[in-house]
Parts: sequence; C-alpha cells; structure tokens
Amino acid sequence: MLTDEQLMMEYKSGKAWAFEQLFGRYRNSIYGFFRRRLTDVARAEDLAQETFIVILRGTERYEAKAKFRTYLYAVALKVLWTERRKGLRENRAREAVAELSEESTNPVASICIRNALERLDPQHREVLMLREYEQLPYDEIADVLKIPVNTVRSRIFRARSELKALLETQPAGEALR
Amino acid sequence: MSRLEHPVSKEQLMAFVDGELPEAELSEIAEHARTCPECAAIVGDARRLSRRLAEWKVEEPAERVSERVLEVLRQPRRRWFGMSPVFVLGAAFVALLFVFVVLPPSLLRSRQAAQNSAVQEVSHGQQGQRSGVIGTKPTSPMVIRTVTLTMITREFDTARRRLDMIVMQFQGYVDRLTLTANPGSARRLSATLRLPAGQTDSGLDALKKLGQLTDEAQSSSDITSQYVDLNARLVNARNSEQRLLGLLRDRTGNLQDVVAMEREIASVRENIERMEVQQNDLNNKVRYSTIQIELTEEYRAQLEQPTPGTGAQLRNAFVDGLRSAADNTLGIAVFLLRYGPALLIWITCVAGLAFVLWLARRRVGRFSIL
Repeated sequence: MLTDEQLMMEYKSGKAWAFEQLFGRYRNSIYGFFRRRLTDVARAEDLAQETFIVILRGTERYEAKAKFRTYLYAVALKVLWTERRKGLRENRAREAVAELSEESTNPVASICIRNALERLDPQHREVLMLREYEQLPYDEIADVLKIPVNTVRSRIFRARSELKALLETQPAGEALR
Repeated sequence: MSRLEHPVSKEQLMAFVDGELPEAELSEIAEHARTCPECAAIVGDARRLSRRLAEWKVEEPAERVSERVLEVLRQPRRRWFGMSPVFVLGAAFVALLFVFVVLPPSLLRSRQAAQNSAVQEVSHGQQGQRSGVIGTKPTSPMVIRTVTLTMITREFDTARRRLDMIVMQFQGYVDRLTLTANPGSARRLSATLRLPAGQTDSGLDALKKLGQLTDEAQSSSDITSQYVDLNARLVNARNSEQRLLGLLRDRTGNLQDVVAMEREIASVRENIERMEVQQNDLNNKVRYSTIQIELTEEYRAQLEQPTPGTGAQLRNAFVDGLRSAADNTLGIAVFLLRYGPALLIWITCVAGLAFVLWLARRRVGRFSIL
C-alpha cells in the first residue's frame, strides 16, 4: 500500500486516482475536524471541500519532505482560522447548541463534551483536539501549530486537567443548555 | 511532591498515555505507574477522559463534499511551472508595466538613434561611393530645416560674445556674419549659423535668450525623393563609367574610336563629380540646420554728444570751404575733360546750323525787295 506522501507524488505526476485514494483516506477526518469546531453542518462541509480543493490547487507547491497529514491539517487549520476571522468581522451570532448527529450514540454526553471543550483555553483546546480526535502525534501537532514539542506536552496535560475538572463540575442540566 | 521524590513528570505521564515515549522510557514509566498510586490515578484519569472524548462522534459527510472535490479533481490541472498564481500574476503585471511604461521611451530613444545613424550612414555611404561602392538609400526622411530669428538687445556686446559661445557649445559654425556700427545709429548684426540638426532646438532656445525676440520663422523642406533620385542617377553614372572603362580596356579599335571613348568617359566623370558635389551639399544641409539671425541694438539717442568750440567750427568751415573749392575745380576740370570734346562738336554743329539759317533768311529778304 502506498503511503500518503507517495500518493501525493503520484498525483503530482498527473495520476488523478492517487488523489482519489488520499481523499478517501481523509474525507471523514477532515469533515470531523470542521464539524467538531463549527456549529453549522453545511459550513463544516463547505470548509472540508475547500481544504481539499486548496490542496489540489497547491499540488505544485507540495514537497515530499513534509508529511502529507501534517500538511493537510495545517491547511485545514488555516481554512478554519480564516473562517473564524471572517465570522468575527461579520459579527455572526453563534449558535448555542451544535446540531448533533443522529448517529451519535450518546447525544447528551456529546453536548457535555462540546460545552466543556468550549470553555477550555483555546490554545490548550486545539492541542487536545488534534491529539484526541485527529490522532496526531506530538511532533506533528508541533509542526501544524508551529510550537515546540515540549509545549505540546505541557498544553496537553493542562488541557486534560482543566477538562476533567470541567466535566466533573458540569451538572447534567447545564449540558443541555 | 518534588522531582526528587517523584521521578516522573505529569507531562511524561501524558506522553505515556498517548504512546509518545521511546521504548526505554516507556517501560520505566510503566513500572513507576504500577507502583505509584498518584501517577496511576493521573494515567487512569487521562485514559478515561480520552474514552469520554471519543464518545463525541460525528456523522459522515454528505455526498456533496465528495462531488465538488472530485469535480475539481477531474478538471484539467492548471500548471504554473511550479510558480504560485500570485507570482505569475505579479510577473504578468511587471511585464505589462515594462511594455507600456518602460519600453516606449527607450523605443523613442532608439528611433532617434536610428535617425542619427541614418544620417551618418548617408554620409558614410557617400564616402563609399567615392571608392566605387553603391550608395545606400536614406532610412529616414531627409529634411532641411531653416529658421529665421529677429531680435533686439540692449546688451549688444554681451549678446555678440554669447552668440560665439552658443555656436561653439553646440558644435556648429558661423557661415556668414556682418556687423554694422554707424555712429549715431543702432548697431546691427546679421549672421547665418549652422547647427547640427540634432541640436537645433536646444541651440534655438539658447539663441532666443540673446535678446527680445520680435520675429521668428521656421521652415522645413523634405528632400528625400530628390536625394533618392540623385543617388540613383549617381549609381547609374558610375555603372556607365565602369562599363565604358571596361570597353576601353577590352576592345581594340582605331585611334578615333579610342579618343571618342575617352571623351565620353570624361563627360560621365564630370557628371559624377557634379552629382557628388550636389549630394555633399544636400547632406550638409540636412546634417546642419540653417539659422539666420538678425540682432539689432536697442537705439538710444545720445543727448550728451560733445559740441565743438567756435574756433574749431571756423577752422572746420575754412577747411570745408577749401576742400569744396578744390572739389568744385577738380569737378569742373574733370567735367570739361570728360565732356569737353563732345560739347565742342555739338557747339560747332549747332553754330554751323544757325549760320546757315541766318544766311537763308538774309537771301529771302533780298528777293522780296525785288
């Protein structure tokens, strides 16, 4: 099986099937990345599309030195930050509760987690989410966020401590707020 | 708990939970976590938290995500040869800037240079023609430019000096110069200057500062066709000369034929030389513009003219009288010498006629008495 980087180089040399494979590998992850960070499902879909389209159009700039996954999430983060800046400029009203998936096994638990994560320090939250949901190793998180690995370690510890405390103190009714 | 009492940091425990430790460190911390209840609790909490976070699942993306991406994927790739579109756009902008802003002045300069070189080419071509090379056609219009300036100046002497300096500065020459300075009247300078065609305008600007400009006239005459015609005739004449010389060299004939041939060659040579002189003249007129300048001093009547004394006036009158008497005497003598013989003949004729008439009248009177 070809690695992500090999597939990307194949696509760079003109083989479209290679990118189709890559897209298949990361489609759900990238959608999940945006879905957990935005309240609007349609917008999450749009941004997931946009991330892949940015990758497609920037193929010539990709170099095999970088891990494809790091590159992909770095692009996704840029797309997300652009979206957030745009949201701040437009002063868009935030939706109170995210639309939860019908497939969610435990919607209440999901809302609790989302609310608790929302209250975390944004820097700590981003590191923790990249670790827990995108399953990125520490060095890749450091690359994506452009911070030292030790900072990743310390932020993960603090994020987990804060989150544990928040979940323990969060009453069940507040979760549904 | 200090580091000494507790050899494992909480960050290390997080890395242990996440499987981010090297093998050696991993077994060491695993061992410690088994024996240390505090670290075991932290590890347990972290693992539980991870499991709880994993409960937040998201649905699969809608098909439209794939459709749009695959649609873009199937479009033909836009290759920019490794360059970003921003760079390509920037390069295109710079190229347009170069074409529309930077290039035109340099094109104008090159055109000017081409015109100058065309004039030089004509000149060189002319030199080549003397050595038998066929002359070249002018690559740009050949224009003779003539300018007439009429000016008045208060500082006539300064203007006169500056005129020479301007001619020298612009590498021209004075073709003709006349200076009239009559006592009691304004001084006047009339000159024909020749300035290089390329520097005529600059030279004119400098000349106009010599005084107050009262009249200016400029004219241009295009002699391109005349020059081309002259050139063609010159080439033909040279060819004829070469043919005649060839005939003279190769053919043998009687002495009379040879003399006739040499006479013809001399005639053709004379034509060639005359045309070369004309060509020289045209080239010179094109290369150097003609500027005719009339510079007049602003006249101011001299109120403080010195009046001569009485003695001087009497003496002057006496000298003038003597000179006048001498002049009159000389004039009469010259008149008599010049016209005396003719007068004498005329007087003799008239007197003879009068005498004949007088005799005839006397005879008529005598008959009537009879």
